[in-house]
Amino acid sequence: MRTVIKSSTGQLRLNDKSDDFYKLHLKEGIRPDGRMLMEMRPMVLNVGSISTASGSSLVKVGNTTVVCGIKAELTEPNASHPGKGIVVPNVELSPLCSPKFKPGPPCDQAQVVTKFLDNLIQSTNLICLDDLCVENDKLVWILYCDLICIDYDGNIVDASVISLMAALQNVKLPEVKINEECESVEVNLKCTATLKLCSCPVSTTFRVFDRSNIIADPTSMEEELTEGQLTIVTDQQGRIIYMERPGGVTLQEEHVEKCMKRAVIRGAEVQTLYMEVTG
Amino acid sequence: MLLSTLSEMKCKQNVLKSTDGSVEFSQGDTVVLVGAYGPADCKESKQDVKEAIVEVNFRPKIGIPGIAEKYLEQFVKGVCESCIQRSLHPRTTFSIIVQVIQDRGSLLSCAINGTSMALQDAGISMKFMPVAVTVALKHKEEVSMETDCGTEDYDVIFSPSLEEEEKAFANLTLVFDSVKSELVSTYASGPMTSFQYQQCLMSAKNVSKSIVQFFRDSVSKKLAADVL
Repeated sequence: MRTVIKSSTGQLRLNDKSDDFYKLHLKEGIRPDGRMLMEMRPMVLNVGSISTASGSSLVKVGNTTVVCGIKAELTEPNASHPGKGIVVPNVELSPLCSPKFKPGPPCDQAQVVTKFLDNLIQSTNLICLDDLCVENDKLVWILYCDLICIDYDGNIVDASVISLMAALQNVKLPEVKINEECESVEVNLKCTATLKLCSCPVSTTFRVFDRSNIIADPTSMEEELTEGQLTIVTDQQGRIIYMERPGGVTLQEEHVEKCMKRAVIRGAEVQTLYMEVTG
Repeated sequence: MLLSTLSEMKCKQNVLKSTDGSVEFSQGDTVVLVGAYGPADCKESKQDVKEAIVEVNFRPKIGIPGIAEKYLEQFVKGVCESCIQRSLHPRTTFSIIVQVIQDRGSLLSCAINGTSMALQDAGISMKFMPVAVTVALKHKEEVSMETDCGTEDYDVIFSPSLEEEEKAFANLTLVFDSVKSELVSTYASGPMTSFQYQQCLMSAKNVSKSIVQFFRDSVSKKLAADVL
C-alpha cells in the first residue's frame, strides 16, 4: 500500500494513500514499523572509530546513521573573547544519505541543525571554553566538529546531538606549552587529557500527527506525513535545557507535559549508554 | 501583568509602496521592517497541489545572511505556516521579508510580531494572529529576605535587552494564538525545571493578551487615520 511516486522535481513523495495507511495503524495504537507511539528506535553507539581524529563517534538511531569527527587545532583566539576556545559544529546532509538532498551548498535543514547544535553549545555552557585556552590572547584550541549523515531516516537532530556528545567525551587534547625563550609552541603528544564537559544533554524529538497523536523519534516517512516538531533537550539532572517547536499545529499543554516526561526518561536511558560506551 | 512590564512597542503599517503589506515594528530598541507578498505566483518545481507554500527571508543589518538568519527564518516560517489559511490558495506562494534595522535583544519575538502585523496589513486570511513574547529568567542579584521567603530566587524579565539576555540563565520565546491564547511555538534555552517553564508560560500568556490589545489599537488607529 505504500506507494511512492516521483514528482516533477525528481523528489520522492508519498502518495495520499500512505496517509490513510498511517491513520489505520494509529487507530490500533501502533506504527508501521511495529513501534508504539512513544517508543524510540534501537540505538547503536560506537566511539573512537576514526583514529586520525581527536575524537569521533558513530551513532545509529534505527536506520539514521551519523558519524562525528572532531579535529582539534591551535589558533589565535577571537579578539572579543581572548581567553576562550572555539567550537565549530557543522552538519552535512549530502545526497548520499537521502534523495531529498541535492549536491551543492548546504541545504536549509543542514544549516538549521548546525545552528541548533551551535545554540546548544553556546547556551548551555556545554564545554568550559576557558579550559580550551592555552595562553590568553595568544593561543587557544579550536574544535571543528564535523557531523556527516551517511543514512537519513528521520530525526537527524537527536542522532546529531548524541553523536556530538559522544565524540566530545572521546576528545583527547595533548599538552601544549609555549616556550617563551624561542617563542615556539611545544606539543607533547604523549601526555593527553580528556575534555571536561559541564553538562551532558540528550535531545528527544516528537512530531504531531492529526493534531492529537504524538509520536516520538519519527522516521523519514513519518516526517513527511506529520506536521509540527517538538524537540526537548534535557540534562543529567532532568532539567530542560533547550526546547524548540517552530510552528506546526497548536498543542495542548498536557501533551507538551507528557512529552517532557518522556524526554526525561529517554535522557536517563541515553546517559547510561554514554557511560557504558565511554567508560 | 501590565503592558508597562514590556518594553514600548511601536507599529507603523503600510510603510512600503510596492509590497502587499508592510510594517515597521519596534519593541524597545529592536526595530524590524517586514514586507509581505501573497498569494503570488509560484515556480512549478516548488508548487504544492494542496496548499500554499511560505517563504521567509531574513536580512541582517550588515553583511550577508548566515546560519543564524536561516535558523530564525525557519522559526518564523513555521509560525506563518500554522497561522495562514494555506489551503485556500493551492499552488501559490506567500513570501515574507524581514529586514533587521536594529537588534537590541528579543529579536525573534519582534520579528514574529512584525510579521503578524504585515500579514494583517496585506489582508491575508489567517486562522489567528501569532503573538510572540520573549522572556528571560535571571537569578536575583540580592536575595532580599523581606519580599519573599526564597520560593522564587529568580526574576522574570519580559522583552529583555541584549545585556539582560546574556546575563539570564534561561531565555524563552513563546508564540501564542491570538484567538484562544494557545501555545503555537516555543523556543527555550538554558537550564530550567519544568515548574519554571510552566510559570513562564502562564505569565507570558497574560502578557500576550496585552500585545493582542496593542495590535487592535494600532489597526484601529491606522483605520481612523485613513478615514480622515
